[in-house]
Amino acid sequence: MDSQLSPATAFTARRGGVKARAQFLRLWRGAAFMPWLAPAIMALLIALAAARGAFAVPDGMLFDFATRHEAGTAPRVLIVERDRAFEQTGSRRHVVLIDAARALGVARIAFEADPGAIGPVKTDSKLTVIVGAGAQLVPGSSAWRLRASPASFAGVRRAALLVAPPEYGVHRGQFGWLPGVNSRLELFESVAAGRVGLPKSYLIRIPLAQNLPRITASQLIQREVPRSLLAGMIVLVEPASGARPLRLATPLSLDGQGTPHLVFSAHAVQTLATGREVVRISGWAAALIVALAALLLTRFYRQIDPKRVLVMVTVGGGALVLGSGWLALQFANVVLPVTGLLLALAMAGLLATLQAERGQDDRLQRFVGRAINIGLRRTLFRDPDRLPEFLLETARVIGIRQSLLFRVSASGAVSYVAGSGIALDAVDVSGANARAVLEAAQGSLRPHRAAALISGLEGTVRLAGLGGGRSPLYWLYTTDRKAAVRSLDRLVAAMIASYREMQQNRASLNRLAGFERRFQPIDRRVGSAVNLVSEQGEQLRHAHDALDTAIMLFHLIGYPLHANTQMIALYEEAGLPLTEATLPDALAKLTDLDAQRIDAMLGDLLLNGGEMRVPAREFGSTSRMLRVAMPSRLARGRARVVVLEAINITDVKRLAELRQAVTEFIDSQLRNDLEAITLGASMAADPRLDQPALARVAARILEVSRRAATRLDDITVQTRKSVDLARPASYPVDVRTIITESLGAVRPLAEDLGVLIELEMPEIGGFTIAEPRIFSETVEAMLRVIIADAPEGSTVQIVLHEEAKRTMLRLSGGFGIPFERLCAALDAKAGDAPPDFAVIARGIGQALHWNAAVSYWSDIGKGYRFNIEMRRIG
Amino acid sequence: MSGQTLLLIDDDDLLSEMLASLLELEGYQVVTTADGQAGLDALAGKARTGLQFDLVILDLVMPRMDGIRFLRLLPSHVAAPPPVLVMSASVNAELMGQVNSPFVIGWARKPMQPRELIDQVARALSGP
Repeated sequence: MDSQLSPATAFTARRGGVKARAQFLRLWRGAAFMPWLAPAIMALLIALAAARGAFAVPDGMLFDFATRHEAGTAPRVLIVERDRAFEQTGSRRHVVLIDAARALGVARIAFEADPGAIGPVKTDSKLTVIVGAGAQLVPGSSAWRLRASPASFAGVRRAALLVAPPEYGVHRGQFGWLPGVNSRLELFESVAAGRVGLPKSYLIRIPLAQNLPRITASQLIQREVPRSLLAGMIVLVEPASGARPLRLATPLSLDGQGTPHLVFSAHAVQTLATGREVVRISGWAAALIVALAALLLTRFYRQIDPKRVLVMVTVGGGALVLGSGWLALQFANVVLPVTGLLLALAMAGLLATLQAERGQDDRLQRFVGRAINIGLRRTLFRDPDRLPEFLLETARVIGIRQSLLFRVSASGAVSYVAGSGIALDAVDVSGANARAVLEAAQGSLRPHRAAALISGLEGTVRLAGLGGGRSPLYWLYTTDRKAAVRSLDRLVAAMIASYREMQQNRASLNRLAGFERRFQPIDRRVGSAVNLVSEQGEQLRHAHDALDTAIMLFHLIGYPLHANTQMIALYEEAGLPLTEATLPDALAKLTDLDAQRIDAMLGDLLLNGGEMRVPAREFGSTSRMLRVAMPSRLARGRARVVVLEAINITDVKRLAELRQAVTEFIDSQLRNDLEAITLGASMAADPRLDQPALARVAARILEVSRRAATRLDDITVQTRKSVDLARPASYPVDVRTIITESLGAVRPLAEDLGVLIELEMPEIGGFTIAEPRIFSETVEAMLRVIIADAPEGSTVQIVLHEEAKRTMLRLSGGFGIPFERLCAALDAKAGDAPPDFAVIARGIGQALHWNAAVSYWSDIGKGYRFNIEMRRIG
Repeated sequence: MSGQTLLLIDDDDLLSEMLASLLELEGYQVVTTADGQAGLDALAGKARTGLQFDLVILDLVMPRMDGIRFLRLLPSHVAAPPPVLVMSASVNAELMGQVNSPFVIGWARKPMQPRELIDQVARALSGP
């Protein structure tokens, strides 16, 4: 079918298949069960190991430790030793012994080894006589039978004397029974203890502190022991002295000496007689418990940060497991899979920590990747291929007129990169001297004499190695500034270092951005990224120290590195391409300096460091001073950033305007006063003036003088206020001018919406007290609110009216909103109200500072009305 | 010279009174008003009696109605407007261009010396 598809369709199908597979993989990786997969496998493996008895040795050792140190129980077993006197008593000694035991109330008497013919034993329900007999497998079957004995055992029970195989060298368990030919074959210990229905095997408690009393057979026969002590006891009679005693490695005798079989049996009988035999839980039950514990722990660890609680949970969990094991042993006579549980606990913690680490790495990788990508996008310098261009431009500024950038490949081929004034053909790198110079330049941060590479050039020829891997980049240049050669070399060294550093950073960032090298540990990648960010952050911190300044950072080589928002706006206003303009380009656009002066200024700064300030051209309503700061020669090792800063001096200018306004007011108003005084003085000297008129004139002069003094006082107060730029300063302004400017700002909006503006104001304005910037912003905001709400074709009215002592501005129009809503908008907290209402509200508040009053009103269909009434002083 | 009537329009009452006193010493009859609107009213009132002011001495910066608006509205209030001598603290080309009224026959820069003012008034009244 595929062969019938068109190439495009086939491609689409193929792409679709790849896409589907990728989608499946994404789903598979992102599936909810994925985090559980590893823990589940881990739980399963540990559980299987537990089920297969892999932890029998450590569990057994724990069992031994626990039981060896536990307190013993009241003795139920009495060991009877065969003493010489007893052995010499005669052939009926066993019957005598049995009779004595019966007489003393012994419940059972057991002869571990076949004592030979005992003779007829009186049978009754009070005493059971047991004789141990060897057991053997019935040939060809798995059934056991007792070995035949020639002795007669009338009235005696024979029981199998067999020791269960050791667990890894330690005898701690015994069979409960053996499979017989027709029925179960009972074990010696089980019968001695009088227990039936035991599990097939059990573990014996062998405490060090267990008291197993011993007496000799003669003592028993002589009844030297009170009946009260022996009543109900089980007597184990040791084998005849001639028999070679069997010794077993048990928890009691791990030193290799071994425990006599009789003692081992006595502990088994004691354990059984007290009903404290211990069983292991089944393999599958152990597996289930381990698996459940592992999964519960995994779930628990997924709820919290596992690293924080790992030690605590592991230690606490371990204690809990050991405690539970001990409790189960003591009260349920069960051995729990303690080792499996401890292993599950440790593994769950480890796995959870690894998963958390991995998750953290993944998250970190995602975030760092995104951060780096954003960082790369935000870095102004996006085109590393333009590095040579910037380098040559900077070289030109510092007086290096002849430059050549070239690469030398591994085969020795020379390729042109950029240059001016030096042709590539003139360079010869084939000679041994030339190669030595190339190597020296590449291995150093300093420029080297390079006459061996080129001849016929005037001045000193230098070569700098700029790094670049397999095809290293070289910068060949000449200098004729003999006086400044040392400074130039220092600067070039800094540029070389910067260039190499930049290349390395770019390479590092590119690798980081791609995340292809996953084998690289995340912490190194993060470290690298953090270094870059912190380096830039440090530079930015220094640069942004000044408030409200536009800042741009150039690398020493000349390429743009970073610009803050204000500088980006300034560049846009000036029509400068942000990522491409060099520092000389920027200065040419932003200042009135010509190219020659810019080059001279930058050349001097680059060579000697320091800073210079140049007035900037005015863009918009903001006045700025440009500050260009270069790192000093000494600091170039660390700081390689050139700072271009546009300092907003509008406030300074505002202060100047304020002083100008005050001066104009004084000039204007005091002229009147001065004129009145001059006129008065002139009239007072006129002989035609009669006495009453003279007195009247004199009074007026006095009045004018007082008025002038009052005005001066008023103005002094205003001027003093104005010195504090931190708070709005009000002073005599021509409101008419401000209205005209505000109107100019909102006129485009009115034109867009088809709203007409009717303006009525004096042809020439007087002096009104106001803070011009806030007043202007407030009026603009009011006009925007009204215009934005005005129906198309309607008229917005602005009426400015000046009276002797007050100036009134009325703005009206628009469709209007309910008065309550207007009040609510103006009362809203900053951020809650629309921006224009917030500005108006702030303006209303500030207007109080210059004794102005603002009133407002609105209604649906009737429009808005804002009235501002201010103090007019002349 | 005596018997000629002048209309002095200035919002500064003290200066206005001084100027009026000075001019009255020279034999002029002086009527003072505090703003442009009052000046127009005075001119119209005088015209209704069949008389007119011989000269208007006008300050520019005034509340309610400034001097420039007064000059704009003057022809609509008086059939034969009298000549106007403008007083201003800042006499410059921009302001003179803004005023641009055919009735303005001279500019007096504040502060004025008494003699200078008297001479300017005399010249204005003597005609071109």
